[in-house]
Amino acid sequence: MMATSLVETDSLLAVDVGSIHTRALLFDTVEDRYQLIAVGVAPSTAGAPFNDLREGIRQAIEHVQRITNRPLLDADGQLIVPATDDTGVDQVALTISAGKPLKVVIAGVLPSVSLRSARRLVETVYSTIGAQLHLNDRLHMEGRVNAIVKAHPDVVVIAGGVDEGATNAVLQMVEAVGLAAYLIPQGQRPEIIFAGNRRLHKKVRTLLEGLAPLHITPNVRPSLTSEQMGPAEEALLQIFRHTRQRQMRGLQDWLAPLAGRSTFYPTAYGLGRMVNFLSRVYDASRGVLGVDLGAEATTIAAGWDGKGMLKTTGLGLGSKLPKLLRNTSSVEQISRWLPVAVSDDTVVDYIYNKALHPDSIPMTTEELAIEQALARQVLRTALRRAWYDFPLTVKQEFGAQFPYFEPILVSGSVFTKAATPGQALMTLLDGIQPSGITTFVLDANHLLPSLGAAADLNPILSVHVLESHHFVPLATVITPAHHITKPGVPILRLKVETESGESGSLEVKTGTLRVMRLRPGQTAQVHVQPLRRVDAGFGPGRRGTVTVNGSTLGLVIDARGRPVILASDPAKRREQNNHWLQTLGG
Amino acid sequence: MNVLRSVVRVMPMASVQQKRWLPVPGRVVVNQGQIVKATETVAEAHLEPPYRLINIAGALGVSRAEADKYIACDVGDDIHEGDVLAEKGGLLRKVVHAPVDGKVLLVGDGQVLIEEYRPPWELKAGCPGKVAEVFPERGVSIGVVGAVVDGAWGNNKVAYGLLHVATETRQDPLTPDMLSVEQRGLVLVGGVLDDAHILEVAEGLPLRALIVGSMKATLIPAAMKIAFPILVVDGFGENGMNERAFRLLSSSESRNAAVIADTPDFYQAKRPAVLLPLETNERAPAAPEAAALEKGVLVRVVRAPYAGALARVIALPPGRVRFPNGLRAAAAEIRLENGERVLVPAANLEILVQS
Repeated sequence: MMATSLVETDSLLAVDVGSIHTRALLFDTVEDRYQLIAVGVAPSTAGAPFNDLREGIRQAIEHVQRITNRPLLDADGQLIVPATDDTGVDQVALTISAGKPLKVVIAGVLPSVSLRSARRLVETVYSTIGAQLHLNDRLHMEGRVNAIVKAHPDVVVIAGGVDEGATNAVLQMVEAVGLAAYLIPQGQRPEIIFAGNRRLHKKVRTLLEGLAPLHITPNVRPSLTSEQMGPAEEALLQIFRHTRQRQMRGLQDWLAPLAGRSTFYPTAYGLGRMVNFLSRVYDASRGVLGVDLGAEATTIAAGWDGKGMLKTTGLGLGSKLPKLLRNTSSVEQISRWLPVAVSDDTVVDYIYNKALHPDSIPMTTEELAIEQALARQVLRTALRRAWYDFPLTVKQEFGAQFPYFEPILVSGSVFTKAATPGQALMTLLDGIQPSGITTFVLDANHLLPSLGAAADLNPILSVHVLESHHFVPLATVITPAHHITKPGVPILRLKVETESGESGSLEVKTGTLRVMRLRPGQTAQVHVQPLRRVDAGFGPGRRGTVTVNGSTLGLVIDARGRPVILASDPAKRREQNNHWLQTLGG
Repeated sequence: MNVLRSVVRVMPMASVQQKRWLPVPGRVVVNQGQIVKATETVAEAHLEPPYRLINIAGALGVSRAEADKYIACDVGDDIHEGDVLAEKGGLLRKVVHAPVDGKVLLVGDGQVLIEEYRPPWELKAGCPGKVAEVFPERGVSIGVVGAVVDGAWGNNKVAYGLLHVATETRQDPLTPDMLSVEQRGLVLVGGVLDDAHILEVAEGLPLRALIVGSMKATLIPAAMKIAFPILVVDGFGENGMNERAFRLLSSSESRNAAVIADTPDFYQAKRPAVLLPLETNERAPAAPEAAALEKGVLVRVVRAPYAGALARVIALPPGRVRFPNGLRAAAAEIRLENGERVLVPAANLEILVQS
């Protein structure tokens, strides 16, 4: 009765516009529960030659129509809203990751305090930081003004001064921003968010109002030890929405008829919302991690009992691939993951050719191996950056070790459309290198961002669909943390007892991956006994028991060490990589 | 589902609308309908902001409020380097001079803001033609009639000059002996660029521009530093140039060629192109920017194992096909030019338009 009164029976269409694909996901009630009814996919048309995202949206919706036989578009190709007589839908949730990143300038007082919070704020949307200004930037006023003008920003974020704290230093930044805004031609001026010392609100209004669109929000850093992003995030989301509508042809016209029945977010934000929500549902002593590896960006979302962190990085497997080489990684860091012999030049050629054709697909075994090696390195780089923004308590608890997460939710076609589950898991194990005991779950239909956006309109829908079978448990992984470089040293003993009475035991040695099959629907008690003072998820040297549910690959024990210890000889390393992959089924 | 896709144009005769974009907002200096030469400026912008903020208070050692009474210039004044901006008399006379030529934009609060007179960066037409459309503050579209060969990558430079094909075949690498003082000032065409030394020799001549079928990606940093345009027609590696493009360029020896080596931009619909303009009143078909992938179209394969190959689409099987590496994708059956029929992911095909 409770469920019936909460379920409004409104149908909802979620649309996600990526740089490569546009997806339409139809949700409706079946026996009083919201279900995912159908998914339509079409090539995105936000870029050339269309430069109008409506065509891709229309094609994705038509795909849903063909599957469901339910008319969603009228004779003019417009979405029918609200639903009437089994046609159309009642609500629409739109998420977008396509489009050029917002150009941002951030200004603060201290790099490690206000500027850091400003950076964390802008990284919750797809952005690129053109200039970072702070007290110690060695720039005079002229240098700061010119840096802002040169960046041609869409948004300027000014943070700094805790409340009741610094004012003069902040006002210097405000003056620079004001002067820059004055010099930039009227139609090109950035929007400005002031999220600093609240004592300055009146002064900031006096200096900046009238020059450029101004958003004054509560301080993102009200004290040295507290951070409050919510209101500034809302302001940034508003700016993201109308910047996208200005920049992306067709978006404003598509959204206009849906006013009052729709919501619109960056795709990454939707993911962050769901991860944050799930972190309140799962074990509060562990975090929940969400990873989305796309063509243009990689999103890392993490949550610890409702305290979330969201970071978008401009690293992906499409046109941004060369950034991986230019800014972050060497060719060796990529080719170390290859199970086949490929020259460095071939890897570099691959990267730049993939950037030219981001929607192309590897057809040979060699190219697929390169793509998966790149995915590993993109993941490692994105996580390394995200680690800096993990809560201090988490960093203090785990030190250099990757924190415990349960589960780890994964999306991105390199995983969800991998040739084999083993390849998907191998890429994740090498890229993320988790610790403790964790379950990898694949979001095969890229549902989480849409559910995060849809929660505005219908939170019950999001909860129902989370409980459905659309999220595929890939494997439960136990990682005994150790630094023993010598392979073949026994470090763990496991005993597995399924509820159907089957049992088995296993001794795990360093340098190995081991698999115990546990099918979906099965459950097992796994008794873990470390043989040395390794930490298998219960603390150094401590034994414990965990209930493991079945999954595609079952229970995997990764005893390769953290970081994964690879042979220095390239031929031996390829043999290692191959062997581990074959252990997971190839 | 028949979606329009971007095309690669290799057309001996077409009417092309070549876009020319400023890298930052600026000013378009030509009008719609104007005839332009390749070397003519069509737009300009300041890539580096030309603003100088002079701290009069700091220079005179007084407060900001006090400094204003010593300022000797007004908003709108044209000033020259060395002009007095402010002067404080007395026993310790101090004078602040203008550091540059410019115009005074703001005065007050102890500061003077000057916009330096600095020549802006100029966007050249790159090819002769007629300005078809003006995009205020951003650029123009220039109408050109002639041959067009679309490229895959460029080092962001433009040039116009006489074309010369250096290699015998589309897959031959450029070698130092192909570059001599006779090639100075020419637009050189070759199959493959795989040697950094070639760039050094080419720069020493210098060439007017370099067009290659493919280039090793490890040469990109060096190519970006070269002063003349380098345009890669097909992609990175050693596959050379597609046969149609090589044939068209080879038959255009000694023609004037505009090499617009733009670095591709997906959202701005920017890609590099070689244009071989013709002075003609003959009507030419509009060069399309998109086409549908369907049976019979000519395509170029962009990924291994058939990278660079030309083929015709024979069929578009429904659903997804499983490829030997285990991946599933929408596929196209194509017939390569050697007669072999193969299945490739549809996403790995570019439509080649010849007419």
